[in-house]
Amino acid sequence: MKNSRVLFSVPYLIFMAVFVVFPLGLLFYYAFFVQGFSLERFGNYFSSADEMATLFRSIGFAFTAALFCILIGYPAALILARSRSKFVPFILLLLTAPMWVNGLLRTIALGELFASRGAFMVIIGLTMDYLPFMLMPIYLVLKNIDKAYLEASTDLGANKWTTFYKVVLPLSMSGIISGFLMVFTPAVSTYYLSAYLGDNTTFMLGEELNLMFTKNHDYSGGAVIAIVLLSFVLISFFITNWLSKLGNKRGGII
Amino acid sequence: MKIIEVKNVSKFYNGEGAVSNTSFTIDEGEFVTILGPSGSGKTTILRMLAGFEMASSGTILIDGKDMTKIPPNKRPVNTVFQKYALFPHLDVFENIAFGLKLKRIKVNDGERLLSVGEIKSKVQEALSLVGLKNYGDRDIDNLSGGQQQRVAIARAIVNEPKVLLLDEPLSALDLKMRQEMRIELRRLHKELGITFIFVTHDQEEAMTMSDRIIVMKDGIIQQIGTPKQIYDEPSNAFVADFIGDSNIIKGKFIKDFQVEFLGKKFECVDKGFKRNEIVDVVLRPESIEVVKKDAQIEAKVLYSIFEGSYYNITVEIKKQKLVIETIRRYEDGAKIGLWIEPDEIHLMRSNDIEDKEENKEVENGEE
Repeated sequence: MKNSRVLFSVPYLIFMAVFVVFPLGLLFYYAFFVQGFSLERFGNYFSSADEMATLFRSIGFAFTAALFCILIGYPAALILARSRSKFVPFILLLLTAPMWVNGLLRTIALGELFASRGAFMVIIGLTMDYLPFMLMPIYLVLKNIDKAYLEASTDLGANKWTTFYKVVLPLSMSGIISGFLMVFTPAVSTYYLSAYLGDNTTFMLGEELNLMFTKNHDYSGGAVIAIVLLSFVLISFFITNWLSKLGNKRGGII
Repeated sequence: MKIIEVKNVSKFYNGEGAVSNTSFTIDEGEFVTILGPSGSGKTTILRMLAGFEMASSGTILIDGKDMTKIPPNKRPVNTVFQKYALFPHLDVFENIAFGLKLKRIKVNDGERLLSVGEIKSKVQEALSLVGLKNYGDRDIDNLSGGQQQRVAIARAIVNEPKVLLLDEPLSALDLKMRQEMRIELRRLHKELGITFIFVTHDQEEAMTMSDRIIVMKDGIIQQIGTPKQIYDEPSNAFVADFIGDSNIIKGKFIKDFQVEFLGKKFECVDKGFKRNEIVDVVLRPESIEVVKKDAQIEAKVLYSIFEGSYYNITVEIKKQKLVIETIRRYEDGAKIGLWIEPDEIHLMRSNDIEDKEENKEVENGEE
């Protein structure tokens, strides 16, 4: 029995080894170990003004897009969560409709539609792409807030607005946090959005990676960026975990 | 002084009546229980007093002012919710301070908010009143059910409401805690001196705590009275059955102070029914005595159930079953003699409930 269970895990272990562990090993090799162990490449990376500009630009775009997603997604989620209409599931389905279309196609169409390129277009594209990832967790959290909390708040003298910022907003914070990370994490490394909607001022990490690996064949330089990105994802993951534990303790859900 | 006046209030949900043309008044400082089974409209009445629901018709006066259309945050009442509804993102102190932080008090040149010091001392006072002195910085989910209950009460009374509304607040607690909280609520009522309106489906809670009880069924008030009045003189079979165990059997009114049931004539204290009118006879299980001699009627024991401090025995008389409370046990099949004091026999018009049903239909039809 025990042996057969181990046996079942073999395909997965092989998959992990070939497609996760081995490539990761390669990344680390190129970043640290070409011609002996060295941190020089990371030193160079973090001391290069151009590289830092690209890094912070990527973070800035992703952050701004996540903020837009909150500004658009939160009110929409609030309306949907409060609505008693039987069309709510249908509307939620419609909100995910853009995802049914191929992402590249969607991006090209957006570019054609506005017939302009630049930072603003990249952020619009990011917002459009990742809005459902913000809306859904917020909607679920809001939907699960017990109505009795709202009644208790008005019973204790709060009007609608006070109830919103003293009760509803804090209780839905966990949804905002998980939505934020679900938008920010993929947005920071986006490739085709900046490639198709951006101009020469919107160079992002994703594009840089593409350049390094497919054009310049600078595997070591690319590996450094990949590891920086990976660190971001891991840090985001730990922050989500930590905040969601905090959120659970406070009665929220992620 | 009347603190609550409910006048001809009805509440309809999608055309269905949850509360029908209800009127009652509550005096300042009273402990009133609204008692009824689920769906009786008792919670709807409480929610209309709190302002969570608006009456479809009729008026609600609180402290002499028309509050029918006033939202909850502008009413001089506070609520203890069924599942407490304590804010999970705030600790005990912040939960209790929630209302105080929003409160505006009148001063010479207008209004002002309470100072931090004032809030602190009021919260501390409320905490010690409910016996949770050092619990201020506790998280809500680190409290037991009983402690959460106390915090919920503190959160409500700290605002010094004119009326405290309690929506089945004990139903989530275990039996022992429930009994403790009953005593606790009575004590708080006495100390605070404000009006308590308590909603429950538990007749024992209602009997032990209330000054007066409003018994409801199907959105209609069946009876209003002190626990003793309601127990001793239930106005109809529903009330008699709902308040404690009862034997309700059909009888025939012979003349004033005499009634016939179970094939025998009994002395009673009721009068004013029509001659030969069919009446409901209410006999409480504890008011039927088992006697060795001078029995008015003989019964056969069917079975006995041990209830801890007494036995509930079911007997048969002329194919009619009666439940009797006794201290000693009787063998199944034994013949025993019964005696009922005249003042333990309560007579009611047997068509009381049907009458009420008809009234309700007429009222609904008009709407």
